[in-house]
Amino acid sequence: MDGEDDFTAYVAAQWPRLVRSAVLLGCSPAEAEDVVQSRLERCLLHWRRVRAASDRDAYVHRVLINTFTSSRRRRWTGERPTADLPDAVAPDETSGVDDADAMVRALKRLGHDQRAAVVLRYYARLTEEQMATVLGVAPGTVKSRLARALAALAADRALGDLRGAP
Amino acid sequence: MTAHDLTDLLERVAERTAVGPPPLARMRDGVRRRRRRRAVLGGVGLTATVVAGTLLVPVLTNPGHEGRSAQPATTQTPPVVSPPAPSVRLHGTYIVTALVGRHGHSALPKHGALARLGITFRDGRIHATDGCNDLRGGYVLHGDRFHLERGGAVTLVGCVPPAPPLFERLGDVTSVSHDQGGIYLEDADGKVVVALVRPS
Repeated sequence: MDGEDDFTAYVAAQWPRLVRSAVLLGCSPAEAEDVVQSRLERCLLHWRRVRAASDRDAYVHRVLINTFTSSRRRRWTGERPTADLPDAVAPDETSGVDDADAMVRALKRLGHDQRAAVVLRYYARLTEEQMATVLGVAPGTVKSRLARALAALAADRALGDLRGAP
Repeated sequence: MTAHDLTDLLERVAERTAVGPPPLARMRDGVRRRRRRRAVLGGVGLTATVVAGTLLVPVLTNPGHEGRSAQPATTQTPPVVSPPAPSVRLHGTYIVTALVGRHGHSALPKHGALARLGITFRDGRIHATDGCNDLRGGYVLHGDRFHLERGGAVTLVGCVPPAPPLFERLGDVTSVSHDQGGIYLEDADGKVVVALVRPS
């Protein structure tokens, strides 16, 4: 299988999960497709390097996470007016009745690091070692982030209601 | 909550996002464009190095030598540099998620029924709405350089409260960048004036 075929096979298999990972990390669906497309373009440009990587999934997720993180550090002028977004880009409040919405709200209440840890571990299903590579931190840090995130989710009232917990 | 519950919930949340087929052709086109750009820039850099070397070597090897009598650099054929391909694609309808006033603060309406500010770019034509009035006109995008053409038509409905200064700020835009799927219209100082996203 040559590089292009290999890339095609990889993208065909991983595209939905990568886009949805980006959504769970906080992108809108349209943003998520744009971000993943542009990152995969970059991966295709260096596909030989990606193929040579010992863990291709970790490499691609790392590119994705780095892009997402750097966008959160983006230069800005003055206040961030996106706190008062027009309703068209806000989450759909009217459908906030089911457990999936409770999960979305709970994710939003997590810090960026903890949210990324939860998404990578429980949605992208990376191992803790892969996560350490992706996030560029020690395995111990991954464990502590996950533990704190799980504690926060366990204490989250919306998810508690969902489980029937007090 | 068990790991299994969490995975199950995340899967259900994720599946609510409809995902189309991967845009493989667009990705390959994007990579081809990047490679072409690199090749052109590499050619320009190489030529600049050769020209600089041609001019500098006689001066360095013969300090009294005036550069004027050096072999003319025109013996090098410069590569043909095509106009920059648009690095940002402005096409379709966007929602304004940030509007920075000239005083540097948000100029978006903060409360009440939020007016929908939006901009549609199509084939060199722009249609913007500030929630009260509409602007229709032309724009030019060359590489990342943006210019709103003069002579656009603006409706003149009296607005209470006053509409945000979207049209006025669009006139200040000189460049466009993109990041994370968002589009940023920037002024001559590189400061973001308007941030846009596609409607979800």
